[in-house]
Amino acid sequence: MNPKDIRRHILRMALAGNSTHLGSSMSVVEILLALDGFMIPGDSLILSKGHAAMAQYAIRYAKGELSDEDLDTYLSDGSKLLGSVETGAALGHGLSVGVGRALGKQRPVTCEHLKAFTSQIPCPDGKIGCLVAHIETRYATCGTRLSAWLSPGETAPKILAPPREYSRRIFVVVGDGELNEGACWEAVMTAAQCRLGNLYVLVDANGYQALGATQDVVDMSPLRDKFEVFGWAAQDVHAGNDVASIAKGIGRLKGMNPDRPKALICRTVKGSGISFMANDNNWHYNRLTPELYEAALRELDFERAGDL
Amino acid sequence: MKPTLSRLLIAAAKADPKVMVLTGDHGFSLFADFRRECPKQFLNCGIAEQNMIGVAAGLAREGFRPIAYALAAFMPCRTVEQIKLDVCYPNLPVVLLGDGAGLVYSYLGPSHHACEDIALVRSLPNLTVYSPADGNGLTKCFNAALSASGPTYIRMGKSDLGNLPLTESIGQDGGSAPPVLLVATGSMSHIAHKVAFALRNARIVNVNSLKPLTAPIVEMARGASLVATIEEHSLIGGLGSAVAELLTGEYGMPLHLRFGIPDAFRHEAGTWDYQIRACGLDPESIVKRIGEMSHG
Repeated sequence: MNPKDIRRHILRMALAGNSTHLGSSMSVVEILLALDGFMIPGDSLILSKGHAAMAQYAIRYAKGELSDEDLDTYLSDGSKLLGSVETGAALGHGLSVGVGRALGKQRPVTCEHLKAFTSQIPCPDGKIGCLVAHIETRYATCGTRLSAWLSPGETAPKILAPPREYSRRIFVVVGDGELNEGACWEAVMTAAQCRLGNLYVLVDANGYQALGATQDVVDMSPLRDKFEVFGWAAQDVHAGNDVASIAKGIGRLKGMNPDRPKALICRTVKGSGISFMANDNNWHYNRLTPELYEAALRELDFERAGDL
Repeated sequence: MKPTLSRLLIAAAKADPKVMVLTGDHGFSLFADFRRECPKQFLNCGIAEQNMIGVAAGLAREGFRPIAYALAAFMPCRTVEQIKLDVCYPNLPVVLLGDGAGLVYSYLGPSHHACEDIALVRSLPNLTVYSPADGNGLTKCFNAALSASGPTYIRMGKSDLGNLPLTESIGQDGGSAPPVLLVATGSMSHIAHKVAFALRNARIVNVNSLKPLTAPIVEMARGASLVATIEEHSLIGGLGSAVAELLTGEYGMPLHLRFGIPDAFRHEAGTWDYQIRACGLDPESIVKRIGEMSHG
């Protein structure tokens, strides 16, 4: 999926639905794309900065999960696509739910989950069974086939406990303004206490919130230090609107202490990708006009031509 | 109710490894046995109730059956948004146990008084609300909550009032005058029985399920001389309001008197009996007021 196409879809929805939150939706595009490329079955995503819903819908559209009609009827009467996802744009909820999900994903899983998970992990000798060898079980020794994990005659899913580093993962995307909410930090503390190494938090740090720059409202910097002091493994990504940089950052985190929850502070640009939106906080609430829509599309097309 | 709760939790956890008990650093003696017998299914989230609700929601999403425990003074009040958005909106099977409802913590002041919890939760869609009066009621409510597909809030009040008498009516042997209908919940169901015996002609409804309000109250009210609701909760928004909502819009309903905690904070320490009397919730005060209104 191409970030420019995602931005085209966002613009299309924003015009159709006469919606706000364009700046916030644009800044998070590459984070969501990088995660989409990194996640495997059994992993989950929470877009806690729920008001960036258009970015999530745009990616779902690009994957064929949403239709043209869905985009073109965005926010119209009866539209099932709401202006915010998850817990709504209430903010500050996703981290706690993420902690619960991370805990759940570390606990025993059923055979079905394990099958889906291990089928994605390459083993040195190419067989799924070698991963199975690392996993505690009540049943017989590992075999080269997953069905060996069920005792003869048993077909019901059984409970197996994966080692921590093979736990399914939960990814939570938050905004920097969102981290003003104290509830986020309750979750941060509990995550470290429970050694949730399978919890990844990506901060869309675009430097703005509704009424101004974050440093002028509640200065949250330095974010990486704050997470580290709370016992997390944290990394900065300075090019927060570059998919490859974010992917590298997630990879760095993956290799860090398996007992620490993980935070990636992504320096993004609010309104990224459109010159007249970038770093202009009016685009937190501004709506598109047909003229501005055309101007934005032309910019994206021009860049595409320039790529050749 | 507390020993019953401990037994119920242990039995539930042993029967289902997906049951998880979470607490906001409360339940020192309540959870002593549970922590010893099912340590992996116990999580003390610390003094962070909002996070605890989110964690419960996340666990439920992963197929667990979380039971979150806190004082009714803190959950729902401190955590209403989390209950609304993390639990009720996605309709997750989370059991919320609010303990010490009403004025149980009679010496500690308003921070520990839960006189608004029913009002707060009744208006949240998808949430079932129970208010058992004794160990038997708690067992029924707890088991219903654990097998429900959606969320439940169980309000637990004064725990040492014993088992509720099974009497449902007094002085109702053929040809008697219409009785007073006493509709009560939790601790006040015990009070209602004392009131009924003093009135000598009454029917008693112990409301376990506040939402949905399943008791056939309208039908019973039709045959009553007067309806009195009694709750250890604010007069605003609790059982009395729920019953009033039912009776409004029905023809031929008798007078409805609401007994509950007045709309004011309790500024004094004292025993539970002292607080209850100060709110006019002792049997004598209730009988007196019913008597006054009956002769109107």
